[in-house]
Amino acid sequence: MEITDANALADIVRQAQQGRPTAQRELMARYQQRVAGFAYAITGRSDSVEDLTQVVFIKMFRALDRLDDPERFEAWLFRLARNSCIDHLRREKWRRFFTPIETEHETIAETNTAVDSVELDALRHALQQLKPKDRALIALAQEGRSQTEMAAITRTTVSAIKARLHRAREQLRNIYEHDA
Amino acid sequence: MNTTPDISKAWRELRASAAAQLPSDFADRVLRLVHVQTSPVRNAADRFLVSACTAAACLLFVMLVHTHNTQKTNEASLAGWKQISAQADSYASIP
Repeated sequence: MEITDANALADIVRQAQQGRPTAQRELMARYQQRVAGFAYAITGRSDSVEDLTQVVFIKMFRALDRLDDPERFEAWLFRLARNSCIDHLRREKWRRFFTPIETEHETIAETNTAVDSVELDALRHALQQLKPKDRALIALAQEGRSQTEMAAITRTTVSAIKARLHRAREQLRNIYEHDA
Repeated sequence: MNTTPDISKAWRELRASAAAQLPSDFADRVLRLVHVQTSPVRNAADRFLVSACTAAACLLFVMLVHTHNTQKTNEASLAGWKQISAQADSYASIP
């Protein structure tokens, strides 16, 4: 992102913090598709994308007042999105644990549709083979987050992030190339 | 011939597929929800303040009722003792 873009974004964030509807709408227009893609990469389910994206933005607007540094908005938003997706997966795991056998068909992994390409299907399948936290790491990298930001988001060291990200990417590539 | 599958194309498709899940009025709906949910009670601090005020009002009411009842009991007891004292004085004055 260029400096002027970063400044413009910080201005929009400040205006949104003051409750200006146009700025709030602008933030949503800029990020709703990226957050949706991020949530899809982590959850692997298209039917939860809309709800999760909505949850992320509601949390975002509620907590926006507490963001001290508008320049760091993007990293802050994706940390919020990552934590919301991980919480969602954790809740789903518990829900599945208590779901009766008859209704378990709802929890079967999503299958590819006729309009999905082989590449998309392979990527989705490869992502599902990774641990949720590794998926989140790859999704954060795809969104352009630096390793320092990822370390702050996951509360770990940069060297640990480097190692985990490298391992996760290798695993993803191997499964993807095998499937595609 | 390069047969390596294009993962960046797959990522683009994944984003497009996710974006297609959002209805056209998604932003309006979220902003409406945000404003509805934040207007009556803004946050946990406000909720705490309302709870604290309610608890204080209840405590004040209980204290007022208690003070009123205690005062009435004391007045009734005093009146009783005065009556007993008057009767005792009248008995004492009988030769």
